[in-house]
Formats: sequence, C-alpha cells, structure tokens
Amino acid sequence: MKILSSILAIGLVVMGVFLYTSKQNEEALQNSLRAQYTNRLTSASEKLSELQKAVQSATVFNDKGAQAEPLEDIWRLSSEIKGDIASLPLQQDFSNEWLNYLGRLGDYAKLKSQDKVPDDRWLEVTNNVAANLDEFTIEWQNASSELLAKQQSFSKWQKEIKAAEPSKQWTAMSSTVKGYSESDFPLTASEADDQKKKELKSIEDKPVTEKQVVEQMKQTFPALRNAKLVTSTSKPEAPYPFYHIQFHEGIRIGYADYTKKGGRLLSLLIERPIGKERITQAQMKQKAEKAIKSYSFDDVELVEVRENHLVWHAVFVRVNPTNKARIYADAIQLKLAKDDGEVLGVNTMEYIQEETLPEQKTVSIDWKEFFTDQVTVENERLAYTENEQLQQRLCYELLLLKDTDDDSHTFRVLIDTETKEVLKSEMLN
Amino acid sequence: MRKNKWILCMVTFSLLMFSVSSTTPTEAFSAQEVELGAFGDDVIELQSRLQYIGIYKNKIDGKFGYGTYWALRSFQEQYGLPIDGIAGQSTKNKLAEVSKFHKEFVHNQINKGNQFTHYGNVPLENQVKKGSQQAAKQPEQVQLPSKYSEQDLQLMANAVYGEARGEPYEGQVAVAAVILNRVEDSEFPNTVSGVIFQPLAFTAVADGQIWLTPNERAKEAVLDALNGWDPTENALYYFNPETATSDWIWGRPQIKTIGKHIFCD
Repeated sequence: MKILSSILAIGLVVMGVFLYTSKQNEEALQNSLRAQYTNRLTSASEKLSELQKAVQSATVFNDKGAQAEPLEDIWRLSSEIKGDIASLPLQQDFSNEWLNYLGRLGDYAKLKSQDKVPDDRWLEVTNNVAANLDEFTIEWQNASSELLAKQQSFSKWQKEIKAAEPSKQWTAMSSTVKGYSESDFPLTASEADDQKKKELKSIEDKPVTEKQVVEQMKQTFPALRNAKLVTSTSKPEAPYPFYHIQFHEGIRIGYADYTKKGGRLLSLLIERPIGKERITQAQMKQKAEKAIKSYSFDDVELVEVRENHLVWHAVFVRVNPTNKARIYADAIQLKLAKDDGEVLGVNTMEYIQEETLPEQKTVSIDWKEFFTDQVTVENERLAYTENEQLQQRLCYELLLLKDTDDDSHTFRVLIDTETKEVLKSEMLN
Repeated sequence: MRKNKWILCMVTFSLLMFSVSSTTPTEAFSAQEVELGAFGDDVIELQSRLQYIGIYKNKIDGKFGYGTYWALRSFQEQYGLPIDGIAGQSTKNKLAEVSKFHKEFVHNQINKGNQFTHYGNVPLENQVKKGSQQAAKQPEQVQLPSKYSEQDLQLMANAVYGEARGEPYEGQVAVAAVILNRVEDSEFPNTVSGVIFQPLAFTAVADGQIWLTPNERAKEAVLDALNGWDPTENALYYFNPETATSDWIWGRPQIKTIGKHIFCD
C-alpha cells in the first residue's frame, strides 16, 4: 500500500512538473508571438507616417533630381509596409485591400521615377493619395492602438481575430481603402483587358451541350473512350461558365474542363502509375508534337521540355505567322508519361486567351555597344512579352553567354524593338 | 607456311576486334540520347566527363541546363563533331575516349551534398571543398520553370500535404494553384512563402500540419501547378463547407467544388 502511494505521489509530482513546464512554454511562445506582432504593428504605423510625409514631399518638387528621393521613399516604404501587413493577423478583406493599394502606390512611384507618368497626372494622383493617407492614418492609428491594447489579454485578442464575423471597424476600413484604390488607381485599359482575358469573357463562341463536350473529349483522348464520367458545371457565380468532367478508366483517374462557349478544352490531368520503362527524349518530343497537331493546335512550336521524376513537361507557344515571333503569353503545356509518352495533361488556358499584338517599329541595335565585353550573343530571335503596363511588345529575344575561367552563366534578355527598353532579363539554369 | 597462317589469323582477329570496338556503343553511357531539359545519371556522367577535360565549369548536378548545353557544343566543335548540343552516340563515344569518369566519387559527393569538382588535372581528394559537407540530402529530381525555386516546391508541397492530403489529386493541384494565383494577385504577398505564412491564411500553418513530411503525390501535384495547371480556374480562396465558420468566406463568388473544398474568387 505504501509502495503504491509512493508511486502515485511520484506520478503526481512528475505530472505537475510536466504541466508547469508546458504552461511555461506556452506562455513563452505567446510572449514571443505578442512581441513579434507588436513590433510589426508599430513598425507599420511608423512607416505609414513616413509614407504620408514622402507622398506630401513628392508633390512639392518639380525638379527631377529633387523628386528622386521622395519617389524612392514611396516605393520602399510601401513595399516595407506590405511586408508588415502581410505578417499580421488582420481581417482578410482589409489586408487584401491595403496590400493592393500599397502595391499600386509603389508601382506608380516607380513608373514616375522612370518618366512614364505625365507630370499633371502625377500631381493629380499624388494630391488625392496624400489627402486619403492623411485621413486613413488617423483611422489606422485608432484601430492599431485598440488592437495593441487588446494584447494585454492574448487569448481575448486571439478569439477576436478568429471570430466568424469580422469587427465592424476593420470592415469599414477595408471599404475605405477599396474606395481609395478605385478613385486613385482605376484600372488602366490594359489592366481591364488583362482581367477580361483572365476571366475568358472575350470568348464569343456558341454554347455547346454537355453531350457534345463529352463526345469531343472521347475523340481527342481515345484512352478515355470507356471511362466512367461524372460531369458537373461551374457554379453560377464563376467568371466564365465551363463543364467539369471527372473520369475514371482502369488505372487512369482525372478531370477535364471545357468552356461552355465553344467547347474549348481548358485543362486536363490524368493520374496513373508510371512504369519503369523509359522512352528517349527524342521519342517524347515526337509524341508531344504529334499530340499537339492531333488537338488541331497548328500555330505553335515546342520551346521547352523539362524532365522530371516520372513525367516530362513540355511547353508550346503560339508563333506569329507574319514575323515568326514567339508569343510566350499564348502557351500550351503538355505533360507526358516517361514510360510510354502518353499525354497525361494538357493546359490551354493561356492559349485560348489570344493576345492582341501591336503594330510596332523595329530599330536595329548594336549589341557590342549594348552589352559589356564579358558576354557573347549566342542566339537572337523575335518574341512578344508584356511590359509593366501589361501591353504586349515585340522584342529581340537574346541568349547571352557570360563565360569566365571559373564558371559560365546564360541569360535570356528581351529588349523592346522600338524603345530599346529591357523588358525581361533572367539567368537560366 | 604455318607461321604465315598464324599471322593471317592474328591480323584478321585484330581487324575484327577493331571494327567491333569502333561500332559498338560505349559502355560508358546508357543508350539514351540526352539534350537540353534532361536530367539523371547520363547527364551526371556527361557533365563529369566534360569537366574532366576542362570544358564544363559549372556544378555537376545531373540537370542538362544551358551550362551543359554550351559546354557540349564547345566539345563537339573542338572534336569536329556535328554541333547540335545533343549527346548522341558519336559524341558520347568520343567523350568516353578522351575523358575519364570516376562514378563512385561523383555519386558519393552528390549524395552527400558536397561541393566538388571533377577536373582531370587535379587529384580527386583535392576537389571536395573543405567544410562543404552538409546533411546528406538527395537532390530533388525535378526541373522547375525558371521563376520558381526548389524551396518554393518544398514549401508548397508541405502546404498541400498539410491542407489536402486526403483530397483527390486534382484537389491537391488545386490547392497549389490557389497559392500561385495569390502570388500573382496584387492583393496578396508576392512570394510563395509570404502567401503561405500570411497569418490566418491556411489552417495547416495555424495547426502545425504544414510541418508534416509531404509524400511524393503532394510534390507531383505542386509540380503540375508550377508548370501551369490550375483546376480551380483562377480561384483565390477555398474552404471546406463542413467546417467553415466564417460568414465572409461564404460570401465569395464560388467557382467549382473539388473533393471536400469549394473554390472561390
């Protein structure tokens, strides 16, 4: 009996120590998190005051040199506040709107520093932003002070941020910022076009029936001829209507989405086990080319293949028939099994959203003057890519090799054929 | 006479051996042709051999990128072979003839995660960078679109496994696609880690399930999303209608249902 009591007592002591340590650890974690959130919240508040001053300063100078510093400050501060806001547990809608507004403000300052915004337009926008930020700063200070005060009880604060219904104060601030975005940075024509394309609203084809789409899928992918299908349609609020077909055929399981207008294939993915046999890279490329032709995509060329663990991923892009330039935004991706080259995936969403291409001048550029002596131009062709205003531009696409005694690096650079502006520069693996 | 016969036999045998050795594919590489975009043991050997003769200067990682491509073209040019940047049979034969490949050494260093080189004019023991030994980690057998890193893949695989491991494959690709759609959207942070660790954004981050080790299926799903597939048709949010408590999420425009998740704009 005595032994049993002793064991029980020891057990209770051990459990007590364990509970005490756990509680201590939890408190330490809460304190650490509280410190981090407080730091981010106060940092965001301080930077907001600085941003407010930078925006005001940017309206004062006409001289380009004097303007440079406040523009740089706006770009930097808006980016830093975005970082703070993104790491704080704030109401989702508010966070999203505020990140959007700050992003647009930063981008606008960057465009101005590159002389891409007319002076009168800049003054108009900046005066609006300055007035809005003055007003918003007061709201933000009130809301953030209240949030900081609530951290006296961490559990109470946690409860509030996880609440099913967001607080009215933050919801109101979210609407306020949304209003600022719409008034200060309305969507440009290119952005509206881009959005329209993203939502596939430009498709004007006639609607097709579910039966027609299923038949089309079986013709295009004969391996699915006897598949069991479950077909549904997109939800009524979806930006564009489509059919969603889930299929199951032996070892194959997957889905295909087709637009309701025109019955165009948006994407297809098949999951199946991959055997140990391997086809060669040349065979895979042949199969990819053959498949893309059989789907009637006749205006594309294979631009990239990537071997992965079980499959190959291949990328085709549309080629402009007049100047043979590649249109990278109009891409189709294929996924092929490494064992027999069966097409396990097709993604044509970008291809369907055909880009509008500009009429554009082409001026010649002396690459020897344009680049340093350290690089050589290994390849040159024409290609389209978008600029910061989301407009497609015709570019010289160059592959550059920088070869030193220690290593070599390859760069892909796209330069506007008319303005000579570098629109894209990336180092390739 | 007997002596002449013997000499004749020897000459015939030698000629036969020579012709066989000059037409039989080298045993050095496999029979596969490799070119830009490939990865694997053949590429490791190709890079090692090109480095052995001082033509390839970059990391030996088994991924046939542009560094390997230019080096191979340079080798083909030097040895009078057709310059196509493809390691076909004649190129491989020539390379095997003029170089050596210390397979065990190279594979050991790769498996140990060491920084090393394989130059022919330096003793092998001097080619492993001191202090470079890291925790043994097999390199990922993936090649990603240039704008993404292996860290993005790893982090997204953790998020997908934590959020949707019980979902169909399509549902896992969908969760990965939502992360990428957010990265592209101006209302969200513009990095993969920024999106995943945005407070309150993902349940798996809040409850710690993001730190579970993802399986191959989750990684494959992420790989498909990184390569462009988006079964959600541009969704920015998703929720499980059985567990969602927020009124706000129910107010979002819905696009489609995959498995247990409703995906919305």
